[in-house]
Amino acid sequence: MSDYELIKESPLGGAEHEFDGVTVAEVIDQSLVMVALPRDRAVDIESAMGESCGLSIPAMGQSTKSSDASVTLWRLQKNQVLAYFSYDGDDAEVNLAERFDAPAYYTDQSDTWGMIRVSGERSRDVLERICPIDLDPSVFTLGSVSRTVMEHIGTIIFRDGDDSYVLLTMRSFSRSMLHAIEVSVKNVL
Amino acid sequence: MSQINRIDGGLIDQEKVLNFTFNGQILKGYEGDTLASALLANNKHLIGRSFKYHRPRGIVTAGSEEPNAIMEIGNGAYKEPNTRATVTQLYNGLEANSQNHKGPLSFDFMAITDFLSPLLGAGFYYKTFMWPKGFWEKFYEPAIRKSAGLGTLSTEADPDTYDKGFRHCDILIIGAGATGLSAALTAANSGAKIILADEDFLMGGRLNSETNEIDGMAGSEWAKKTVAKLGAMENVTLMSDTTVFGAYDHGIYGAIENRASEAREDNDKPRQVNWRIYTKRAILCAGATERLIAFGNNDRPGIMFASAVRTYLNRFAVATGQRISVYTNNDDGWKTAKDLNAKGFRVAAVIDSRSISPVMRVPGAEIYMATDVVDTKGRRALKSIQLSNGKSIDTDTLAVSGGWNPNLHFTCHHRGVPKWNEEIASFVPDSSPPVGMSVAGRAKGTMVLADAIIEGHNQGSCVAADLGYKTSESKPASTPVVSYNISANWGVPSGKNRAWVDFQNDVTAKDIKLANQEGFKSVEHVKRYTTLGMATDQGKTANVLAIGIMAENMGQTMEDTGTTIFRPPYVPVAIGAFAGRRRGMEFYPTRYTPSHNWSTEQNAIFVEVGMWYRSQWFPLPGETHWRQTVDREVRQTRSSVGICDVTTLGKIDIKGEDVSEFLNKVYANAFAKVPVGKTRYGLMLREDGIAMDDGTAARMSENHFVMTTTTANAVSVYRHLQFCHQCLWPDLDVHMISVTEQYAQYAVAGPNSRKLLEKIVDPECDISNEAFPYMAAGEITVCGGTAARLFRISFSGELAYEIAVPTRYGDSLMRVLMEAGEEFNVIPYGTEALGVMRIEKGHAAGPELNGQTSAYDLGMGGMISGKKDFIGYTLGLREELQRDDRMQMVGFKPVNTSDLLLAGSHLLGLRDKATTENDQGWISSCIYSPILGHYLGIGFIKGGHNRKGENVRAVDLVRGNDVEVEICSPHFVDPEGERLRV
Amino acid sequence: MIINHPLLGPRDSEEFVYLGSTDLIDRPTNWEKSAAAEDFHQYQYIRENIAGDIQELWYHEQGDQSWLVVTRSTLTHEISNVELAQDFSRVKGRGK
Repeated sequence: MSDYELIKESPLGGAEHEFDGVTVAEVIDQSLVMVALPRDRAVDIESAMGESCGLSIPAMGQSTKSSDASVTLWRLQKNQVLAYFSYDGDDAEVNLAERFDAPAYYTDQSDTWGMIRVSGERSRDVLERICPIDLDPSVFTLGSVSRTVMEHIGTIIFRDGDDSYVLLTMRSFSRSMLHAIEVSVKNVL
Repeated sequence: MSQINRIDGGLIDQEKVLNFTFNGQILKGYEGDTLASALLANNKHLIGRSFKYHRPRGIVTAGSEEPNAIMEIGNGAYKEPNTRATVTQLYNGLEANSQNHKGPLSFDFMAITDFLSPLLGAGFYYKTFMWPKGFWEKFYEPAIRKSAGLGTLSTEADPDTYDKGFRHCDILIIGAGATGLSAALTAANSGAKIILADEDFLMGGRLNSETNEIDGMAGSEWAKKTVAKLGAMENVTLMSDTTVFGAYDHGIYGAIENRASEAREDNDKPRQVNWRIYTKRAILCAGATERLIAFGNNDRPGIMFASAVRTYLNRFAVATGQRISVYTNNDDGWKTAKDLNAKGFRVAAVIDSRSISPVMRVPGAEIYMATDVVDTKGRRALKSIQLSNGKSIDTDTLAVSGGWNPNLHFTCHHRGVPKWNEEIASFVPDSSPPVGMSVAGRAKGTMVLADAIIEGHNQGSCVAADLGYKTSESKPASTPVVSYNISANWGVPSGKNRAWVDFQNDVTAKDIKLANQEGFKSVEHVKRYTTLGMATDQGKTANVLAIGIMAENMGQTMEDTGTTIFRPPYVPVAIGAFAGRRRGMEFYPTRYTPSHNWSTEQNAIFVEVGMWYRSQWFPLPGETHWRQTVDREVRQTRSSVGICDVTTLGKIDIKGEDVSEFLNKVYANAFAKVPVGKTRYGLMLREDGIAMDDGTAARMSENHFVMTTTTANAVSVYRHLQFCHQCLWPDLDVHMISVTEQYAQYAVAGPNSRKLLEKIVDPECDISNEAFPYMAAGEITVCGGTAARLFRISFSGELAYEIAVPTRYGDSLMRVLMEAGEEFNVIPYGTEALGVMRIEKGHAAGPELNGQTSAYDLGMGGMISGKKDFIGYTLGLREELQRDDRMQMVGFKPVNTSDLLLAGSHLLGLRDKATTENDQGWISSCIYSPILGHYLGIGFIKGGHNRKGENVRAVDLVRGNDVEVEICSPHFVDPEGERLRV
Repeated sequence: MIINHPLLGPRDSEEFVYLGSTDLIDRPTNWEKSAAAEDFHQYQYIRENIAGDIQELWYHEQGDQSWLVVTRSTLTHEISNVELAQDFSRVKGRGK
C-alpha cells in the first residue's frame, strides 16, 4: 500500500444549474476512448465489434449503439471512431479494448474532454448563440454528432435526446465553455 | 400644446403614452411611434444642423435612408451618436439630443460657415489647406476635426452588451413589405425553412404607410394578418427590427437585431444581436427609396419626401403641417395630396414638373403642371415656396417626390453593377446578383404594387421549387392596379441659391458641376472629390440624383455616366455588435492547468501563455520582489527539488506500424532506431530549412510513441504532422491523437527528484539510475496502482523527470508531490524560474526559434542527419543557410558581473556608434542567474560560433543600457551535462 | 465562406485553416540527386498566380482534421469541388 492517495476530480466538479426552460449540467459518468481504424483492418474491426458488442461503424456525423446500449460510437473522422460509454474507472482504454476484442488502436480520451449537457425546451434557443451548426431537429437528428468551434473553443456536440445536447470541449476550456453557455442563458431567457 | 400635430388613428396605441426628452425638453409620444414621428407630432421640425454649413435641418424621411435626423441617444456611457430618429422605436425615458451645433439648436454659432460657403465648395480641403506646408497637421486638420464630424462619442467604455448568433434557413427573405410577405407565403407553404427579416419593428413595409387595399382590406390589415399567419408556421422565423446588412460568400448574410421592444429599457439584455444567417437562397424584397429634386434651398425644415409625409400621416397619425404642398415628377407624389384630403386636410398646391394633365382631382388645391419649385423661404421652418411661373405659395410642409430608387444594394455586394432603366428613371439590379439571390418587387424595379405582389408570390414558389420543395397552386393577393409614370427631373436652375443633393455631406448641385468642370468625370472621382454619398446614409437619397445631374452637366446618358456600387454594411453597424460578447476576459477563452486551483491557494502569480493561464511564480510571505521569489525557486530546485506544471506542452500520441519511419521523416535527427523505453530529443524543421519546433518523442512500445511539442506550437505542429501524413505519405500506418489534456504532467527537477518520486511511485516500479537512466521513458503506477507515465528528461539541466497521470488526478498529484516532498523542502516553481534554468542551460526556446534560424544557427548542425530525407533537409543545405557569418546563437555574459543585461539589446563593436549599419545582432533571452550571481543572456551575433571570448557591447537605447559583454558558450550551467545523469 | 466537405457537408470556413496551393503535395523525392536543390526550390517557392480556378489546401482543424483539396475561383470565390487530400495525394501516386 502506498502512503499517498490520489483523488479524482471532474473538470467542473459536477456543476449543475437549472434555469427556466434549460438545465446545464456536467456529465461525469461517461468515458471516452478513441478507436483508430487502420485502412486495411477496418472491415475486420467492424465485424469483430459487431460480434462482441453488436456495434457497427456509424456514418459520418452519426452514432451507433451497442446491443446493450451501453456504448455509443461517434463518427467524427474517417479513420477513427470515438466510443462514449458509461464507465468511470481509470482504465477505460483497457476496458473498452476487452469489450470490443477488435484489432484497432485504442487511446483513452476520458480526461481530455469536459462534458456539459444542455437540455430543456429552450436548449436550442440558448445554443444558437454559440453553435454554428444547424440544430434544427429535422437536420441534426437524434444521435447526430458534430465537431465544430464555439466561442473559439473546439467543441463536439452530440444530440442525446429530443431537447438534450452534450457539449464536449478540451478539459482546460471547460470553465470557459460553461461560462459561454451561461452567458447565452442570461441573454436569451 | 402637447402633440399638436397628432390626429386620430394610425398604427400606434394612443392609449399608451410614452415620455421622452429632446434637448432636455420633456415630450410625449405613443407606443408604436418612432422618435421621428413623436418629434413631428410635437411639431419639432428643426432637429439638427448640417455637417459642413450648419444649416438648420429637419426630418426628411421615415426610414433608414434618413440623412438629417441623426441624433445622440442616451446619456453618459450609454450615449450613442448618429442614431437615425426615423428608425428608433420610441420608449419611455428615451433621451435624444441634436448634433452638430454650438450653443442652442435654434442659434448655432457655427452657422457662420453657411455665410462663408462661397469659400467652401467642392474640393475645398484640397485647395484651401495646402499651404503653408506643415500647417495641415498642426493647424488645419485639428480645427476642421473640431468643427466638422458628426456626433460625439461618450469616450467611456460601452456599457451595453452585444451578442451574436447563428441561424440557418432554406430561404431568407429580406424585407417584409407586400412583395416579401407574398414571397414568404408561397415559399413557406412549400415547407421550406424560411427566415423573414425586416428592419422595421412593424412588418408590412409601405403597406403600413399607404392606403392601398389588398384582398378587400386595408393593406396594413392584410400585412398584419399575413404576418400572424406566417408566425404560426413551424418552418418560419420572423425577425422584425432586424436589418440585414451584408451579403457574404456562399449564401451567408449578416443581420443586426435590436433588443425586442418589450425589453427596450432592459440594459441587462444585449442591445443588439449580430446574426450570421446561413441560407440556400435569398429573395431580396427591400422595396425602394424615394429621392429628392434639386432646387434652390430645398433643405429647409419642413421639406420632406412625399412618401414620408404619407407615412407620418397614415401610420403615425401625424400631420406634418397645416398647409402642405406637393412637388412631384411622378404619379406617386399625388397620393400624398389624396391621402391628406382623405384625412380632411386641405392641400395648398400640387406642382408637377411634367407637361401632362393633372393625375387626379385635388379639391381645394392649386394645381400647377409643367411647373417647378425654384426657391423656398423660412430659415428654421419652411414658410413659402417660389415657383418657376413666378408665383409664391405660403406652405409649411413641402412633400417632394423625385421618383423612386430600387433598394438594390445587396445585389452589388459581390460587385454586380446596376443598370439604367429609362421607364422608371432609375437603376435596377443587374443580372448577376450574389449567387443564390433573386430580387422581386420594387427592389427589382417593379413599381406597380399589384405586379410586385405577383412577382413576390411567384418568386417565393419558384425558389422553393428550385430547392426541391413541393409548391401548391395559390393565388397572389389582389389589389387594384395603380400605374406609376415618371419623367426624370434632376433639378431646376437655381441661380445663386444652393440646390442640395446630399444633405448629410452638404453637397450641392453646384459642387457637382464644379467637380465636372475641373475634370472629374467618373462617378467614383466625383464621389471622392465632393464627399457625395459618404457618411452614415451612404447617399441612399443622394446618389441617383447626383448621377442625373452629372449626366446633364456632361451631356451624356445615364448609362454612360454609370453608378457607384454598394458594399456592406447596408446601414452603420456598431463595432460593439461585431465584437459581440468577446470583450475583456472573453476576448478569447481561458485554459486552466490541472494545478490551477492549488496554485491559486498558494497565491501564485499567473501569466497568460496563449490561451493558457500558467503559474509564473509562487511568492512566499515576506518576499517583496518577483526576483526574490524566482531566485529562491531556482536555487531550491538546483539544490534540492522543485515541481513545475508542464501540462501545457503539446503531447501527441502516435500509434501505428510506421510511426518510427514517420518520425524519421518529420524530425531532422535520426529516429528510425529509438529503442522501446527511450526518449529522444527531436528538432523539427520547416521545409525551407528553418527551425520550426523542438521537443521529445518517447517510444512506449514498438508501435507507439508519445511526442511532446512546445506549448506555443502544440496546435501548429499537430496540423503540420497531419499535413505530412495525409498529403505527403498517405499510406503510412500512423494514427495521431492529441493527449495534451489527457495527462496532467509535472516536471520534478533537482538532485532530490528521484528520492521524492520513489516515495510515490509504487515499489514494483524500479526508477533507480540503473533501471531508469537518463532519457528513459515508461509506464509506471503511483500511489497504489494509478497508471502513470514517467520520462527522465530535463529542461533545467538537473536530474529531472516528467511524470504524467490522467488529468482527473492532476490536482491531487500536485498536492501529493508537495506533501511527499516536504522532507526535501520541495518548492513549486513557475514559468519564470523555468525560463531562468533553461537559459542557464542554453536551451533555445520561442525567442530563438523565431522563424529565421536554421539548425546551424542554433548550434545544432551536428544533429542533422545526412542519411535520410526529412522535411527541411534539401533546402536546409542551401549555402546561404550554412554561412559562417550568419546570426548564430551564442551566450553572453557581462564583463563587469554587476552590470545589468537586457533582452532586446543590440550588439555592437566596442567602439562602434549605435547605428543600424553597425548592428551585429541581438540578445534574445536574458535573465539574472542566481547560481552564477550575474546576468546572462543568449542571443544572435554574426559568426558567433567562432567568436567566443571576444568582447562586444550590448546596447539598449530605449532603456538606456550600454554594457560590455563577452561572447561565450550558451551552456552556462553544467555544460557537460553531468548532473542529468546522476 | 462555406466549404462543402466531402464527408461532412457544408461547413463554415471559420472551422478551417488555409495553407496554400496543392503544389505542396508534389514534394520531390529526389533528395539524393543533384537536381534536388532546384526541384525543392520550385516546390517550395514557385507558384502560378491564376485568375480562375485554383486548387488549394484547407485543413479542417475544428472538425474532422482532414486536409482538403478545394477548387476555388480566385475571381468569384465559387468553390466547384472539394475532395480529401489523402485521396488526391494517392491519385498523384504518393504512398509511403
